[in-house]
Amino acid sequence: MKITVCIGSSCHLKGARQVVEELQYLVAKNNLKDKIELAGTFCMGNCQNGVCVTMNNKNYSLSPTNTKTFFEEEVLTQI
Amino acid sequence: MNLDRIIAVRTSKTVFRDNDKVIKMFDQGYKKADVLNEALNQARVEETNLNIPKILEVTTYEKRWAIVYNYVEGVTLAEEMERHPEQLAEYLNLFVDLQIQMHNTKAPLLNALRDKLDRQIEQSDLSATIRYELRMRLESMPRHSKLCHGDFNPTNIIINKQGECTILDWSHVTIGNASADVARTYLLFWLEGKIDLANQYLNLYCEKTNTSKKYIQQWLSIVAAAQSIKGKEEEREFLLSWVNVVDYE
Repeated sequence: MKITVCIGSSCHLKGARQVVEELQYLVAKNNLKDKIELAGTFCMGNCQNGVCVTMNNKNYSLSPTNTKTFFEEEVLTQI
Repeated sequence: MNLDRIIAVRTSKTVFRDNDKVIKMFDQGYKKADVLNEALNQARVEETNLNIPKILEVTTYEKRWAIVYNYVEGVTLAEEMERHPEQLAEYLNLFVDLQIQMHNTKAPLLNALRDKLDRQIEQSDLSATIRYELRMRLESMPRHSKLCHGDFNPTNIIINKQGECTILDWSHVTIGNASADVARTYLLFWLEGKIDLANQYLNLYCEKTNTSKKYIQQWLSIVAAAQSIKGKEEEREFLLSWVNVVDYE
């Protein structure tokens, strides 16, 4: 499963770096490196809210504070 | 070290830009030996006349290893191919020429591709019989000492406004048979779902180098088996299907 995080300037200001670091940490902690591929992309044109993240063709809007919840509720349940 | 601006993300590493420098930061679980080996490999290739980023520093930051390179201005060839599909043939031509130039470059101190492939096949989940067959096949293939990138694909090539190309990411570089490197690139296009492009690439490479397609195809099962030990689960299934279509004789 591929999770793509927007690393464009708008998402950068909303905390893309912290979101990336949190996702990397959670993937490693849950031993999911062979199941989840993290990638970065430039603007996905959906940056009105939080940091734009896509997974399985669905868009999510994250912030550093809700990344863990996203991982537990969306990622872990879809693996 | 300013780690504000991310320019690439992978599962176990993040690449930052800090003015004229690029910092590749590995996660905490990354083996020190793998980081140092990557830096050493790249340093060996820096000694050739190929256009590649230069390593400025290998360091640690908050218990994480990092390699610092000079920043190379431009966009990736993959982006250019995406943006200008009408110029695809021209870009593919450039891509193949660059790979041929690389294969003709000497860097004798690098590790042997044959040893790496042999080790990876042995580590794979394949049955002992198939592993044996693949290792025998590998043993029978001609021995060369061409510079093989190991991950040669358009996302690893930066092209600037003057049309000059720089080849990135030398973590998998070895010396060996160029056809194995070509088989790897062919598989990478397949893994991206770009099957037409994979075939166009292979045709062009074979035409330019007067190489038989069948000869490259002989490497496919070996390279697919070796690649199957790496991370991604869905890729593993696909790669093993390449191994299994081989007609063992």
